[in-house]
Amino acid sequence: MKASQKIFVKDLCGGTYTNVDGFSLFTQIDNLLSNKSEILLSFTGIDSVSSSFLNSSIGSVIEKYGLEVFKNDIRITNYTPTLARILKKYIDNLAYHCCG
Amino acid sequence: MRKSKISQHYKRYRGKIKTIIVIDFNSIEEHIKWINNNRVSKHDFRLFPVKLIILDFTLCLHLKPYHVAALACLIFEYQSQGFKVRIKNASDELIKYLNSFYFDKFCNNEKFDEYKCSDPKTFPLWRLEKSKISIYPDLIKKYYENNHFDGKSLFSLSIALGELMNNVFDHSDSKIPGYTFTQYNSKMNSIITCVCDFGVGIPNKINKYLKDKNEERMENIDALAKAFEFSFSTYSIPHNRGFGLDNVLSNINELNSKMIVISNNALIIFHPDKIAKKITLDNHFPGTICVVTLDTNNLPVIEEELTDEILLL
Repeated sequence: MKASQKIFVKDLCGGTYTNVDGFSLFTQIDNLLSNKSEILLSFTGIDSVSSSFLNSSIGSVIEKYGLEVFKNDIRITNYTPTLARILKKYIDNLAYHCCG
Repeated sequence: MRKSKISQHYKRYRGKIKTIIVIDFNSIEEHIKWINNNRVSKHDFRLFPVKLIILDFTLCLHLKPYHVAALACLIFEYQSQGFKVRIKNASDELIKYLNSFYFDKFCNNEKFDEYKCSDPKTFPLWRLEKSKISIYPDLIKKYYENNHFDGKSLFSLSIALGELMNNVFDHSDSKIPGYTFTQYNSKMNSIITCVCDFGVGIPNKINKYLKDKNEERMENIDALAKAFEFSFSTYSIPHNRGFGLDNVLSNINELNSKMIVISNNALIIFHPDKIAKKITLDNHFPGTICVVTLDTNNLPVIEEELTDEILLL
């Protein structure tokens, strides 16, 4: 059974609008996934994210590890319904346009 | 004492100091022509050898956010070449308005409070700095939520600003910083925010990208429309995927709000009825200006955070 690690996105990244912020999240997720951990992303205190942030974080994770790993090993919590819609839409669009 | 010495010094050069008449244009074409005619690149040093610009506000009643942001870019161009800038002939009401967001200090190159204005309907004029994209969108969102929209969410404003500011840094290739300016109009129930840069412009950027790929050039207006197509990108930086402007548009449409984008000689107006009006202008704007008008009657309620754990796929 894999260990589950929680990442508080706001504490880790500072902001959720830039590629630099996104890269901070990607680095942390990358470290945990390479150590075979499951990840719980907490979006407490966050209701907006930019596409640049998503490209450099979640987008980069999916590029490196693929959709299956993302689907199986990453969950979210402490999200607003709107943020969940934004994140789902981003991943669905990425899956459709990039992965076929 | 120092100010009067400076005034006396410049009195000697009165005829050799350039005056720019500032006008609050209603016509986009006239505004663009005025900007182009008054840029520092058009400054005639033989006629006006003194590095001082007088901004004359005799013909100016009220400046909207798109006037202010573009004027800020214009002023910064002069300041970056060592010019000083002074304001003249502004009415008392206009002076009060300009000072409310520290326009006087901006012209004088003085530091000012970037986080609040004397009028809480206005957020200070901000120079776009890469280090501040992380904080600016949430800052301005909280500013208006706390001052005017208790219980309502302005995430559409923060998303729009985050995307537009990122675009300036990713794509504009601008030699000078861009500026952003935001105001709440309580009579019209709208927040107008504007992001302006004097960069290459979206159509020029896209056509250069197409040229590099040996593809056919597009008309500027079609290129600007293309920029809003989902998943289209010039990949100015590797992470770009072409989702940003579509993001802005989706949020604006959800609020039945409006966006105007002018870039090079292309103008697109995205109406609340979801129809985009495309116009080829006679004059070229020297970069890109985006004006988002959010209808505050349609703001959603601040949502509660959900604590269950869900998969995103």
